[in-house]
Amino acid sequence: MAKAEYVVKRLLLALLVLVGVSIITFVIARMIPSDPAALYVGPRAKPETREAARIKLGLDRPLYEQYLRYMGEVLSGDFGISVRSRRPIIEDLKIFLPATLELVFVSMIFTLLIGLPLGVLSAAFKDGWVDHFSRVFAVVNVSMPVFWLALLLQLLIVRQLGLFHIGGRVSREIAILHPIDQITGFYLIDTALAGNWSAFRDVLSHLILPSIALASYGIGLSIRMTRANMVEVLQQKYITAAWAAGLTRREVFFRQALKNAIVPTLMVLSLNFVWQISGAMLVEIVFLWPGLGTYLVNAILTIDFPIVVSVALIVTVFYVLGNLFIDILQAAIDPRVSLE
Amino acid sequence: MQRKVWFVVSAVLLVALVVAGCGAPAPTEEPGPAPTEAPAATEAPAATEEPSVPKVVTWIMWQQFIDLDPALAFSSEHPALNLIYENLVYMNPPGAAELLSPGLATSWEANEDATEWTFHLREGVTFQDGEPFNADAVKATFEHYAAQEGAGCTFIWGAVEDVEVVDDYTVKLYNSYPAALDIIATSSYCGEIISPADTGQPKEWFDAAQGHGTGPYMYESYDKGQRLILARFDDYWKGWEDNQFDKVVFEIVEDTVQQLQMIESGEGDILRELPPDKVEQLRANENLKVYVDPSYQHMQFLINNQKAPTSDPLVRQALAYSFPYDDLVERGEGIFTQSRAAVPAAMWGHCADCFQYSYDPVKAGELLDQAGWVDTDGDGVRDKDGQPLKLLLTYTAGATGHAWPTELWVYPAGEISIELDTQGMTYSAMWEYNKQDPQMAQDITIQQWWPTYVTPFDPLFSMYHCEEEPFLNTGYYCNPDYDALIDEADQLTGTDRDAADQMFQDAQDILTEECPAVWVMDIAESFAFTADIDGFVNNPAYPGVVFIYDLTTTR
Repeated sequence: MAKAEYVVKRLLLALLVLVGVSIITFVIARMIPSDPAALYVGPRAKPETREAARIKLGLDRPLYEQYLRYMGEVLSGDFGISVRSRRPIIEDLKIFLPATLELVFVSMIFTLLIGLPLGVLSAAFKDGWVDHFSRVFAVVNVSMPVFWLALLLQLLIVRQLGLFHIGGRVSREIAILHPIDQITGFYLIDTALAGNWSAFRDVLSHLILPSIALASYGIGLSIRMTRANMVEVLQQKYITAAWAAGLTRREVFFRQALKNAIVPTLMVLSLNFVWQISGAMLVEIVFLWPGLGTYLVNAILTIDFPIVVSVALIVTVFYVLGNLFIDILQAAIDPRVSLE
Repeated sequence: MQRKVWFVVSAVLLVALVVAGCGAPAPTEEPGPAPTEAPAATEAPAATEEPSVPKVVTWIMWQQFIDLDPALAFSSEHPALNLIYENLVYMNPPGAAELLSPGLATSWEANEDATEWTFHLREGVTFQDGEPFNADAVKATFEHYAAQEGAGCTFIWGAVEDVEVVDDYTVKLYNSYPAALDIIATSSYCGEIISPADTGQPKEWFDAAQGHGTGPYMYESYDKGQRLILARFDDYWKGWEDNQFDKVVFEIVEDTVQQLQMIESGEGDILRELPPDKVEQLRANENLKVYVDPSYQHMQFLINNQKAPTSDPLVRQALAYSFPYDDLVERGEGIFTQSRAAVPAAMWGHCADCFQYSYDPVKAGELLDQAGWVDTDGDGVRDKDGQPLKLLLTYTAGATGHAWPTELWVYPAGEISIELDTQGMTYSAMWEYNKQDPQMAQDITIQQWWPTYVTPFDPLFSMYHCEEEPFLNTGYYCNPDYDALIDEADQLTGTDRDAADQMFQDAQDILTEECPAVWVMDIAESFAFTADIDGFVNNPAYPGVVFIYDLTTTR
């Protein structure tokens, strides 16, 4: 019951956050000098056509009315129309959001599979060579700009070794010979569902390098946090008791210690996950990834403010839900944490 | 248990890495069962037959497709749309004996004042959806364009007020004022004839890569933001040869460095708009062919004609004499040539006899002295009535073609004691800034231009005709005598093209004298092709379009 109350309370607070973010982004977007109606009808349209577009887009209404109208549409699942392409934004999001989410999910898998074990091993072998290696590796990952790493991977792995791909989500040969039937927009899932294994393999090979580039910061972060927390936890009395009880190293490190040490790491990684949704744009641009980041950059450059506002709202939703999820997860993992 | 989970996940990841990394598919891979049905024109061969590998040409596209409705497409879609759809009439490349060639219309004629045009249509042509091409289809296309009320590129048909189907293969267009519909019909934008089954469809329908024309290629698949694939239309009315391409892949790559990597590595076959500083490098690559041909694109700095100090023609002329044209041409590696007047050299109506400004700092200084601008306080900047000669120049940041001339101008302007304050911004932001009250706006702005269809009226009207509110004429030049001259020339274009040509040149003489802009450079069209592709002929009337049907390959 307490959990349900907590979730409802958090969701209500989230609603307030969303309203705040939507007002700020909406007002800022409208304050930027631009003529969305001219953009909407093209450069040579008749003045009356431009005026009709202004009315159609609701730009003749007071700002608060425009905002209320926009939010009303958002609540009914309509994010409005791009003033540049005149396409419903929701249709674009159905394409670009899954592309980014797929990239982010795979990068999170890399983060967890590389960052957590290395963090644990680093603490377990404190001041040994594994620890030194992990710490240097973590610093390199945290400090290296993601676009630079992306370019390095392209140069070393693709150009020098001939592995993986320089960009895109799927090869043109696959697009011609084994076209992907889009169901969810997540190509790994779509190709697996269709049993289109040639395409699956190709999609996976396109995902690896951008995912590693995107995961690098999270890997470094999780190594450092896991190590620090593990070092602290390993000094607790219950760990001494566990050693005395004759538990194996693996049981002590991964079962007893990691369970308590992982919570702060997960907190940070959850925020990192949401950051990646909007922060993936550099990786997306370098790897020609047709995702939300590329979509947002183009919208910013062309002052397509309905897209900018919509993407800001979506990212906020992910932030809020991500935080809520991790709080609940934290309570589930660590009995000392109460949701009340 | 936990150990097993870690082990399994790690093992799966490792295997995935190996499989994915080492298993990049070969282009000749045998086609497997496709989850989506391929169009009849490109059906995979039966399992017992030797699989045929389609001849694929890959176009490295510089920008995403914004609109795929031919009525609204006014950006970078035409390399694809001009392969799917066809025009009634085509404009010939410069140097051809005739200005125009038949397309879907085999002949045409106008009445004396160019208010009625009759087009005789080609017989035996079908659309990609099987619909017959006839006068009804042409009428349906015009109704589709008219429904957009001037949006997109449909303004080009603004003169047409009625379309009459005379018989199956004759259509008559009635204008509300004289207009050269034969030339307008050649337009790369809104010149396309659409299947009558598709006209009236909403924009969203077209944007999903749907729609049928009579052209040689038809939509096969569209991965938005990444790739558009066209497959050949087997029943194309011109027929097919073995050495032509079966499929056209448009790979969307917006980053210039990536584009160059792709063309040099052979991952792509066609690249447009080569960076001038890379042309020699590409020419030296024996796997590539580089084409640099005339185009109708040009670049100018529009000067604020309404606000002091540039409202003074002497100051504007001094600016024209201060630009280092030769330096820019040298850096342009053959892609940039100095402009002469306001119409590009390759276009009809170009004024070859008009005065051409050159870099002459002495002359520029004299003109400024004459205008009363001298450096009285010795601070290195001329002044007049206590006001320094500081000019704000806006340009599109990030666009090499815009940044180069801007950067090159700052130093020579300083040499004659003009302080140029350059302000880079996005194109949209710059346009908004330019559209404000001229008294509050910039002193100079850059404008790259190419015509919607091939007429000198396009640049002469758009950038120099009086406007009630600033829109495209962002130098704010206004001269009623000039306006009357080009308006009359435009009306004569349909009936007396030679007279119109001369009037357009006379209008440029007026501009050259009053100097509302610094005409910087004509920009050549540049392409790199993989060396095994032949048959490319650049046609500047269709900027950025490669008519893939005309290409052959030895693959």
